Amino acid sequence: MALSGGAADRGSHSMDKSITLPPDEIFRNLENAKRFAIDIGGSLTKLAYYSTVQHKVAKVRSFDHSAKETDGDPLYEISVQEEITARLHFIKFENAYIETCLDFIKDHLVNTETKVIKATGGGAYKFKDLIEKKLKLKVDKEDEMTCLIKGCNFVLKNIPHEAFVYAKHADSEFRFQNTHPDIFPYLLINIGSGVSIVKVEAEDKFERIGGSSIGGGTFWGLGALLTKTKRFDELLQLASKGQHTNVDMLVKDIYGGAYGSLGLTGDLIASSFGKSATTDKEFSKEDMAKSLLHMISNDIGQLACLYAKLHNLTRVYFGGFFIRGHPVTMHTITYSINFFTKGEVQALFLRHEGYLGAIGAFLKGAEEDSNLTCWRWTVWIGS
Amino acid sequence: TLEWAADRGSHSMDKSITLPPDEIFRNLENAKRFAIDIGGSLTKLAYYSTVQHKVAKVRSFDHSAKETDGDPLYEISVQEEITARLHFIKFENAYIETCLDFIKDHLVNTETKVIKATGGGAYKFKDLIEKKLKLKVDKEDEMTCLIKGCNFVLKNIPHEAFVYAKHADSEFRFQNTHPDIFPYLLINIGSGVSIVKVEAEDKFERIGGSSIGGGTFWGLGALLTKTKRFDELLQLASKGQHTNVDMLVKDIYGGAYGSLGLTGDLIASSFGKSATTDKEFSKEDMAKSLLHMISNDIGQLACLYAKLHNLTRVYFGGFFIRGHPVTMHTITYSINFFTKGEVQALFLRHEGYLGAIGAFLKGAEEDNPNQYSWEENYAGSSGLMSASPELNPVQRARSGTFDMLEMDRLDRQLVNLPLLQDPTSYIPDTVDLTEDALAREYWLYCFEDALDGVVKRAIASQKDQPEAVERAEKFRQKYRHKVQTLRHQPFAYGSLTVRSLLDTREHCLNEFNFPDPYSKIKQKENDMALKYYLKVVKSVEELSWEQRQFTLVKGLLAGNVFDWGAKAVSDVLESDPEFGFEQAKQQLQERPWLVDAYNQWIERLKGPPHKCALFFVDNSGIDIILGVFPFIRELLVRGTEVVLASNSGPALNDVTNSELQILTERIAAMDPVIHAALKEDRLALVQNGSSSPCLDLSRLDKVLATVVRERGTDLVIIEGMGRAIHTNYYAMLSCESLKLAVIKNSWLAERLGGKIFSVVFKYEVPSKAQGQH
Repeated sequence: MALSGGAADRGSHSMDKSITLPPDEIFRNLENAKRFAIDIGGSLTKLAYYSTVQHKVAKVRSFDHSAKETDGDPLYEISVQEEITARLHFIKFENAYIETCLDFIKDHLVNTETKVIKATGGGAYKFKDLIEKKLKLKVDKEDEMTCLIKGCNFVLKNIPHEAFVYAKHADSEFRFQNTHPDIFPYLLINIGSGVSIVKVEAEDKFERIGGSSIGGGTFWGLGALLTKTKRFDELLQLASKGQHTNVDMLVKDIYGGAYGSLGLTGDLIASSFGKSATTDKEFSKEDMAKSLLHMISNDIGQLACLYAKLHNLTRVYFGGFFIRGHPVTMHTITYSINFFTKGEVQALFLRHEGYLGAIGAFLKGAEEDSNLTCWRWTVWIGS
Repeated sequence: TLEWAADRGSHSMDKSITLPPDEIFRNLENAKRFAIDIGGSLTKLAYYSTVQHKVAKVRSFDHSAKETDGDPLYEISVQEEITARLHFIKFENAYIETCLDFIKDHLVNTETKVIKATGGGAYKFKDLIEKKLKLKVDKEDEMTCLIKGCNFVLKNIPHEAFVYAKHADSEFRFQNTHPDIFPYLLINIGSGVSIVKVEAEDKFERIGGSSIGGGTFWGLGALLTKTKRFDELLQLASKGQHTNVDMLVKDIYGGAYGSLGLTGDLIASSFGKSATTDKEFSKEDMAKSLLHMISNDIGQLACLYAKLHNLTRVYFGGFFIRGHPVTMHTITYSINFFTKGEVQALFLRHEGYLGAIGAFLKGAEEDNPNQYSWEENYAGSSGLMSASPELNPVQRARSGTFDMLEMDRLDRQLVNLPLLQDPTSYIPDTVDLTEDALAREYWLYCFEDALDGVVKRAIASQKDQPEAVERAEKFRQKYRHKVQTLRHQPFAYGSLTVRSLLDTREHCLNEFNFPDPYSKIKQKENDMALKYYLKVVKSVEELSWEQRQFTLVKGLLAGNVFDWGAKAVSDVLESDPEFGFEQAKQQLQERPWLVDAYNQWIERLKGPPHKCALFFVDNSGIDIILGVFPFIRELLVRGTEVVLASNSGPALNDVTNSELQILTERIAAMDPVIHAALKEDRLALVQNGSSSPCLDLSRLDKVLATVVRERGTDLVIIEGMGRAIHTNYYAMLSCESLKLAVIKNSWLAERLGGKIFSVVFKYEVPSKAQGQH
């Protein structure tokens, strides 16, 4: 079975993507799957499950040397055996495919001892009925932030080179960081529709110390109003082609150059969208999108720095859909952090940032019967 | 009267000035040291000028020559005095050319060669100013000027800073001026945001800033709503519902996010709904959402910087804030939200003038303006505008066009009374009429009702000058207008108090050259009372100790009945000049008095004498001569030094320092006790630095403070309704204090639970724990 042309409809905009990958290559090992967890965000669904894999392993066995020793005999014998190992699966797909995916899962869920699916994310509420109907599993809601932090702790601990610094113009765009033996404390800036700033001090100790309503939803919402472009990706595309200086009022636009005595360079943005206040001309979509992106990234960057300073934290991770795999936003956030901390704090991003909620929800479920978290996992993540 | 109509950009002005320009640009003849601050839409002009005032002077006659019985005690002459005044005028940029022309025409004194300029527009208008005024434009650093101006108003204008509370009884809650204004945080919201930490007069640092400021509201607002005017955008915002555009916590989670402490109504994502909804959003809703987004963001940044730098005083300024209740409200809300009430958002009454004041100060540094204390002249200043546009639209339209601030330079530096228990929490005024609507209504009525009498008195004081009638009429109009303005905008000059109403009246009288309407009455009363002095002293001396103490206190209180400031008394005095000292005693309430600590006072007197008593005196005539002098005479005899503090300038029938000097000399000539005390410097006369019938213990002549400290003052006596009831009734001192007055106003008496002529005799001893300073 191939899921192709899965033209689902999201809002009034038709999807331009289709999956051509056979679903059994995505949802692998479903036969023995148990402990399901699902994280439904604003646009993407993340599914997690635990499964066992039958492996062929090569085993060596020493011969019984006490009996009889022949010179030509090999030292030990080799046999291939079947072994069962545990594996975690994480799959990410657009919300538009959720119904199709649920159908596929249902059809391949042979092992039915699982009764419950852990759910998190803003969409968990919205899709609860659908999941319960399709999978015949009880949806068990887990706290979003708790899952996010649990997932974050898990990947930071278990995946080497999970965190990276983004450098747009460097030889290698991604500079991976060594995992610090002690991952705590750290600051997580989750940029979803809004921004949550969370201080994590230990496995189960975190606090939302701040937040802002100027987040991804603001970029998307204001961007849509200004440019009539309704898709988030397209807005980012527009932004990457724009010139913010056409819309923003710079220090030099006011003072004719730098404001030296205050240490402000001429190119510094004095007022975002300041030029559109007094100019009557039309502004290009690209320029407005770029200005908006700078405005939001700089603001989040400054808030992150201030909270990091106030709480004496140097490790600051950024996540959420605003960041997720978008070089444009990773670049502007990195730039902003460098500007505000003069290099003292680095903006860190996570390779598996999109899975944090799903991982966390899964772990919550797993905690309830056995102590899976003590294991050292080799994580398989398909996407 | 000029009728001006100017054009600003592509938007035609809907306002025109009908105010005669010579009522705005006053005292231009002697103007010097100009400074101008040209912002995005408003120009602020500052200049220093001198004002010629008529002042009443008293001069003792040469008594050595020949003494005639009918001769007055001293002569009164009206002299011209020149005082320094700062003028600040704010007007829309559209009028700049017309204004410059007017200034040019009236600049008689041309020794000025330079005009200090600041603000973004200074560059743009440089040529125009140089051409029109023939003055060289000298640019000054904008931020330095802003901070200099801010320091100046915080230091010199009591009630400069206020907290904004939209839904409270009084929109503006004025703050006491902290004796030490530093350190503070200034958040200047112009096009962008500057966050400046100010640590000392000349020490400040821009510690942060943001590009999301007034220009962002204006710019994004213009793009979203096609509304190009800032004021209109704010108007739109005030009518919108942000919840239609913003994504709230409950929109995502169906309710509150309890475990994170987020309420359902919290904005999760500004403009979050417009990301996924296709519907059209109203201009009002979008403007409101934008306003919230920007205000909240600035609020959070302000709190974080305040916390990081450990600052609790945070002032907001810039065109985004300036007089806009909408933005003051959202900023206040945001600060409360983020600091959970730990930090208050403070705003400044004269925020719009800071740059101009600073630029002026930069230019006037050779005059050492910071060496003096300055005082807002209520007669010449426009006052704070009403916040609600519905209220008094005419006033708003006019003050929106031209706004003025005038500050008088005082001859002396004013400082705290060193004996205040806690200068930071000292509030001079007993009742805040801004908050107490009932009291406000009564006192405004009272002052308006008394106006005819004041006008009559003013004319009578200058019988020899026929044009006095016309001036008095102008005074009447001005003061009535002030009272009416205060009825609509009680917060115009800070908290409205009986004191501010009295002071405003004095300022207005001075404005029209009625420097001392009571001078002749005071002279007559002093003459008359002096004749009875020895008789009173003698009769008291014959009494037993206990009887004597009571008679002296009663005399002090009876003397205080003679007060032209109180309507009930001025009625009696005007109709029956024979109303005498003995009659007054009979008018007094029998003990127990309304507030009666007499027994404690007597017990105290049985103990060791005080080291030094500071006596804030009240009225001239019977009060000072037959009430105060016999009383302090007893103190002197006991071995207590006495410092008599009297007004520097005239107010009602209060005895002034110059009058008191003559009176004391005359009494000393009759009474060897007073004579010896004067000679041995056990009796000293100092001026208090004020010209008010009330008393602000946080603004006293520096000399007085020194004397108080040097003499080890351990007793403060405050006499009279103005000084001990309307002000200082609750003042906490670090030494013993006596506050005494006769309530000569039936409304006030009733409020305090008594009848007219009730007696307040309050004797207070600070608890040991607080100790002496």
